[in-house]
Amino acid sequence: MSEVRDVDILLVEDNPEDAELTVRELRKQKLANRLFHVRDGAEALDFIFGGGAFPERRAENGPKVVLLDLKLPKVDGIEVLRRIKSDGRTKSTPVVVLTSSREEKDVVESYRLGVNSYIVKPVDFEKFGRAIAELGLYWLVLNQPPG
Amino acid sequence: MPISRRLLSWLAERLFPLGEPRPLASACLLLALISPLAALSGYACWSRYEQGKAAAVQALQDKTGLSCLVVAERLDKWTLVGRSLARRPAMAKAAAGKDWAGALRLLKSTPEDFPDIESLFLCDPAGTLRENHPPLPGVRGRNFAFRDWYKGVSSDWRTFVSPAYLRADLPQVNVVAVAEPIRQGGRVVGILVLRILLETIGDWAKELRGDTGLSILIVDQKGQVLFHPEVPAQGAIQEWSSAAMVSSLLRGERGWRVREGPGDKTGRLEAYAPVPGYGWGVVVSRPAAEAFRPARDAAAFLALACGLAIALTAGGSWLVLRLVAERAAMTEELQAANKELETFSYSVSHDLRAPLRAIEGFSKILLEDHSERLDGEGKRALAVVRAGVLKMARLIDDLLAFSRLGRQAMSEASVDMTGLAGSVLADLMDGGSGPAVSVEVGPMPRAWGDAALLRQVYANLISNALKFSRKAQAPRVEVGSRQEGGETLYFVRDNGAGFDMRYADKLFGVFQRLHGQDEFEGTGVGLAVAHRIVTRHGGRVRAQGRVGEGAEFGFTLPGEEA
Repeated sequence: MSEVRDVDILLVEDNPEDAELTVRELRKQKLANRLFHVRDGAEALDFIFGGGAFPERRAENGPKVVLLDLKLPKVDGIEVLRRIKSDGRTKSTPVVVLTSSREEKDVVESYRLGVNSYIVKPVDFEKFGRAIAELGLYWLVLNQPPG
Repeated sequence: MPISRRLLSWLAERLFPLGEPRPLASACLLLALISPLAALSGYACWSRYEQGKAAAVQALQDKTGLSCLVVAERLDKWTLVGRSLARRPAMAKAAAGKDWAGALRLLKSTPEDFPDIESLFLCDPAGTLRENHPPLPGVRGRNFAFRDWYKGVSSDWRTFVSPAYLRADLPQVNVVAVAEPIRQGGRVVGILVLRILLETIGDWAKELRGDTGLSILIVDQKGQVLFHPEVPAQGAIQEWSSAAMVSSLLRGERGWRVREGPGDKTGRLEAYAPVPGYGWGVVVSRPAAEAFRPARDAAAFLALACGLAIALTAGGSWLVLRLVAERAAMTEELQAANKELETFSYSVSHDLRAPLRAIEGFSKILLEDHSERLDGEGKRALAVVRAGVLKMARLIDDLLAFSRLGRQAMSEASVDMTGLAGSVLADLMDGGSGPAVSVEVGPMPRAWGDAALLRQVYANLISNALKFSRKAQAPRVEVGSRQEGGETLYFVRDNGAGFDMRYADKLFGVFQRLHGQDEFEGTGVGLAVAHRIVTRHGGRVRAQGRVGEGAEFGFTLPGEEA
């Protein structure tokens, strides 16, 4: 787990097993060095906009990518997505929705709010790992977010 | 939704919120619905009544006119008799020679020949009675120039029918006189007068009345009663000329009126008309209630029919609205249930899969990071766990897909079935599942339906066909259609494992499988999904097969074919 200050990947995930497996896959792809994990939507918003337990964080200097579960305690993933995409300082931050839900309304709602990618977590984690790895490479290496 | 249905639902929602009636609103609506109908019906009944009344009035007026004609015809007859008697040359000659006895001799047989003529007499041109027959006493030699008959006939020396009067000779009775001048060479030499008893005129009236129950009044030119059922023929002559109707009659007018009696039931409908040429008049009357009864009955019948129709309309609309409301309430309930199901599916999809992911992921960690500490049996057990997890994941996915089917809105259009089957097949073959299967897609007519859902049907049926024909000698799959009983049956046929027709009804149930997992893999949802889709389209599915000889799955789509 990296320092709060320099974070490339923010993982928002309440399920510890999913979080562990995700981190493991990212680590395999050597992408987990600068990853920070929060466990609910409120914490995620605090981290992104600099509040609560993260007073030193600044929205202008956000993570390079947010991996966001939709079903979260306190503030749900759709709301977190809405807040990120409706704020001028953060709306260019790529957000990848990770969820086990295949429900169409989630997909539609996420795309409506401007999600950059959407992965349904398969039960088979090898596929999941591949998908995450590809996404990580894509967003972090190939596609530098605008400064 | 068509506007009429929208309006209907809107109304129903207001009248029967959640299926419960709202009495005031219902009453208002029914009133709004019924009042124009009621007004129309009221108008129809009223006009029917007026029509009936007019018909009754017309009938009575016809009767009155006819009575006038009959009276006129009788009077014509007596004037004719008088004229032919007066114009006999012998009569003229006798009168000219003042041979009154001779003249009377010519007339003696007249009362016998015409029984209506009660008596007759001869006068000179000055009105002095010279001879009479029968020879009643006390009048011969008296001058009767004061009589109406004399004034009438002497005014222009033409035939004159007098009003009623009490005659002078004994017995004194009420008569009318027909006076006819006797001429000799253009000069009036005498007057012949025929007398008719009022009773005789009464007989005519009774004849006219017959058994119709009508009441007839005959008045003369002075408005005196010649006949009335309640006025005796003899006795004081009654003069009714001041009565409005009689004075109208005396002016030669015809018409009708309803004379109100002391009670509702005693009013009378009266029609009056003048007797042409004589100045007399006839009034025919009958009780108004009786005259207007057919009109009233017809109107009442119409009112009853209208009332019934209105009641049926009101009841029908109420029922329809109520049904619509109930259906709306039911739809609402269904939607709520669907919503609940959706939430449930969401939870299943999300929460059931999370632990599965954990099992899968961590068993994989076990294999990857700790495999050196597991022996062969341990690794096999772990593999079984992982296979179980994957199978359960697939079951959950299939089940969710199946439940989603019932909720998805269908967007129907004309579908190119041939193209659809071909594209599905291409996708399936792309997966590299079957190497040596010979596949044939025949030309098929277009169908009406939801392309995405029909695609799912083909995906399931064709993948089944590919799966079950895999172990055949020369696997063959055929996709096509044929006409059956006026419908197009789309089918997918294979020469694979087939099935026992005894279990055909189990094929389309969820999780129903006819083959062991070790023979053919699968969750048993595919055919159930196909069945559900076809049923939602209003079509039917059919399965035919034989163990070891292949199977044919067919479906029909009733929608219009483009």
